[in-house]
Amino acid sequence: MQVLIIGAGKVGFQLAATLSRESYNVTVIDKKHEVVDRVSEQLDVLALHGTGVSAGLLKKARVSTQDLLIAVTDSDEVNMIACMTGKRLGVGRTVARIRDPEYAEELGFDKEDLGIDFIINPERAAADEVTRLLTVSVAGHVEDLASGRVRMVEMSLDEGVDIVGKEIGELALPDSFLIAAIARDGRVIIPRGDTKLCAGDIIYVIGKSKSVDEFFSAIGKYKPGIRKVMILGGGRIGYYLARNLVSRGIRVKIIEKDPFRCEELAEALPDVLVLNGDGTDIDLLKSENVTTTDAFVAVTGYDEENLLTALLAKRLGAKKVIAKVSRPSYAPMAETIGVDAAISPRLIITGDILRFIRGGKLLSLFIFLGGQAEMLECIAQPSSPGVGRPLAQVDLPPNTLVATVIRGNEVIIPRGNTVIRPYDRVVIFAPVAESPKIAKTFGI
Amino acid sequence: MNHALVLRSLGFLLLLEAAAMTIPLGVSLAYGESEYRALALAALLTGAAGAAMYLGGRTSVEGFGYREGLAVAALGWVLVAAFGALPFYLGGMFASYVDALFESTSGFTTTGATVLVDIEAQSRGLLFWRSFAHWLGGMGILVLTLAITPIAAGSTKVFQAESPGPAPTKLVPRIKDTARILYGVYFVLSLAEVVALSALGMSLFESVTHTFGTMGTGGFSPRAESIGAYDSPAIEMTVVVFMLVAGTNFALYYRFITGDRGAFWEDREFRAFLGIMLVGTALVTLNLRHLYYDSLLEALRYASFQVASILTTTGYTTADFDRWPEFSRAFLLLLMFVGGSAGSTGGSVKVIRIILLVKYAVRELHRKLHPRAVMPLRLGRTTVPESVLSGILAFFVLYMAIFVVSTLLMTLEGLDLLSAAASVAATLGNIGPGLGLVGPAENYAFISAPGKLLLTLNMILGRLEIYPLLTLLIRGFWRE
Repeated sequence: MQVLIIGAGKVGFQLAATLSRESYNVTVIDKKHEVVDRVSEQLDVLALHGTGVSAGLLKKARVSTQDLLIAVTDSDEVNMIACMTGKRLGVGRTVARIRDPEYAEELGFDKEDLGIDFIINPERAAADEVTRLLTVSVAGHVEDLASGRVRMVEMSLDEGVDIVGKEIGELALPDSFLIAAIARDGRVIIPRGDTKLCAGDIIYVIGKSKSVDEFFSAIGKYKPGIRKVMILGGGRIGYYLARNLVSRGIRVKIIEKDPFRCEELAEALPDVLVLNGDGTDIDLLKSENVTTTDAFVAVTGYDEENLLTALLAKRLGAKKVIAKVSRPSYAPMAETIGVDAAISPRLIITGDILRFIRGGKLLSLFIFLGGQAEMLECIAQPSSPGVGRPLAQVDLPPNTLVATVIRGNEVIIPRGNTVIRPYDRVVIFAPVAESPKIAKTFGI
Repeated sequence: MNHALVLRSLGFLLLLEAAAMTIPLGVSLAYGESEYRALALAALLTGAAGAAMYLGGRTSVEGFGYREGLAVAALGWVLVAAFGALPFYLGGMFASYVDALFESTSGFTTTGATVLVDIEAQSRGLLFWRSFAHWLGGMGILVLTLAITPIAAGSTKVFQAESPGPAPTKLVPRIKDTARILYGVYFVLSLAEVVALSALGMSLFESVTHTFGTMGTGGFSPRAESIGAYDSPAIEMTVVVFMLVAGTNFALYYRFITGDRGAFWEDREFRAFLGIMLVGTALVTLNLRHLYYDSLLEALRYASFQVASILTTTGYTTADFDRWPEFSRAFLLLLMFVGGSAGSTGGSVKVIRIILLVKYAVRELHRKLHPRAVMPLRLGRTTVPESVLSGILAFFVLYMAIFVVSTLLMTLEGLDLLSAAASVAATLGNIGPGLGLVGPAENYAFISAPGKLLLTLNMILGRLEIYPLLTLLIRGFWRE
């Protein structure tokens, strides 16, 4: 499959890296020389210098033979025009990153006219993610699969939890429930019955939504619904997040430094209290009752500020703190220093784009642990090597786990003797590098 | 300041007034009254003055600035009132020109305060002119000029200077077309009221003059007992409906006709306006129930009429509300400071300003709790700019300052405090009848000439919403 990526910023680079590791032939266009140099040095892709709106350059990149064009430059307009031009020159499908709320909301009905097949909006995706974290009622990071019938939760274990120090085999786990993976010291472990759970572990559990909720209420991590949220940073993520939360009846305060942005926000969000000030100002945080807030979400443009103020808020008494972290190297650290969850818009939309590329066969996909591991959901194809024989005999890569099988309305936690049938939906937990092998195993 | 252009515009305004005088002239001739001579002479004098100013001025390519707009609005209103007094003076209605000026100004500013002692003895031609002034002044004499004249340059400024409310809006791209639409709506609604009143048995002459008084939210009646003279619930309720119609923003009718079905209900000011009307009627009805009227229905009948009349600043009466219980009197006096909607023919502070002032105050309370909060003031879905807010605040301060100073001056006249305050509230708010010595059963005739001039000034200040007239007094206004 031929993929053309326009713009090799954070998202473009990550995409190029992920796709080139799989069986995709990737061409990258960027207008900065040093970026082009870096891409061709580090990745096995074709890197071209120039602007993606130029038809000449697109032709040079043999756009008519490309199956997919992904426009992820800084500029919404460039992305739109690149898709339009690409479409006219005969590219297969197009993906554009569009961040401006005005565009993103109004393009819904005329994106076909612009030749855009799929719009990604990183800020909105990040806000939706945080909304899910805050409103789904178990502690930790939550993903819903198979239209909500299957739930996966990422949670860090701290001292107090009574399953710490026990072996997984000793635990009374509910039906259709599995501890799929453990992240310890930044490495992924696929646990077995004799694996001991330690404080500081991040566990990934998967199962029927009901069973997952049961498990968390049994260990006392089922948290009451939140009512008050404080958001630091009134950028686009802050805006989308506030809008999401208000529509669910949650009281929201936003702290933003720029007075003009404050006015814009206050106009756009009538039910939100917009405060003009610095998030590191303890007096401001205290006088606005950070001590009793249910959640504090730091989404400014600076990772360091987000992490530090989130910790500060936690120390002042905020029940749950979430920080936006753009740098992949910070993400794993965030949760070890006490931030309840770190979100990275880049990883989220990389997942969204990969999901779009793989189309109907890989239904849902999320990346964890700063890009080390991912959750795949696919439909097993007939006559593929993974189908028709007990799982124990299927040749899967190391550290890979078939976590759930969904057959019709049935949710199955597979064992060694489980046989996957054609058209079963299979949820697999695997290191990112192994996804091509897995795709082959299930005939995708 | 472009004097030549201002002069020409003012001249045109007087020519228009002279033309308007020919209508009562026709009425007078039709009824075979001798006062037609006074009307003809007044029309001639006004026309001659207008022609002289028109020819003395020049149309200039530079057009109107903001100053010219304010000057034309302020001076235009003074001139129109001054020349409009001529028929009354020449026709022998009043012995003194000051009385005639008071009556004329009260007409054009849609106040409806009268110095006429024996109304029913007057000739129909002059009574027609007195009421017709309400109709012309209600929607605005300058807006009328804009609708029918070829003068286009700078007309937005004139429109803004005369239109009631904090931020007049255009309905269509051109101000001339906006003015025509407004007058069109005004004309059709007026026609509807004439038909309704005639159908209820009122004579054509009285239907027309009462319509002028209702639609302009004026209050002059050819009958001494006002609408109360008919003692007909049907007529009273018809007038209540049309008073409320006139107190509503006329832009809403246009938006409704052009397909915006939610125009009325989505408008916060309209909702508040109706809310004040309903709550006010309920309170006054309950207050009146036992004391004055046999049944709740009777109390409701008189209360609703009086609340609508004072709220819309019309000033028609069906009962001597000065003899109502204290609560009702106090409530009606306070209503005098509310007024109609922006963009209506009603006067006083306007409902929208009251809403925004209240919201402003509430926001300051919230600010004590959250000193760093950014809280724009919104009205429905739109945000009100801070500049509009500070304008409203300043307007309210000036309005109350004029009220206080004028009340003090009126007490020097020998009026008691209540009568003095009510006389100023009723003229500054363009309402008409006040309380006490200037109550609905009384009139303003007993006040001395300086007192009448002060109240006349209050009427014009109120109608033009203070700024056009006051800015003329600032020295910088006349400098280049």
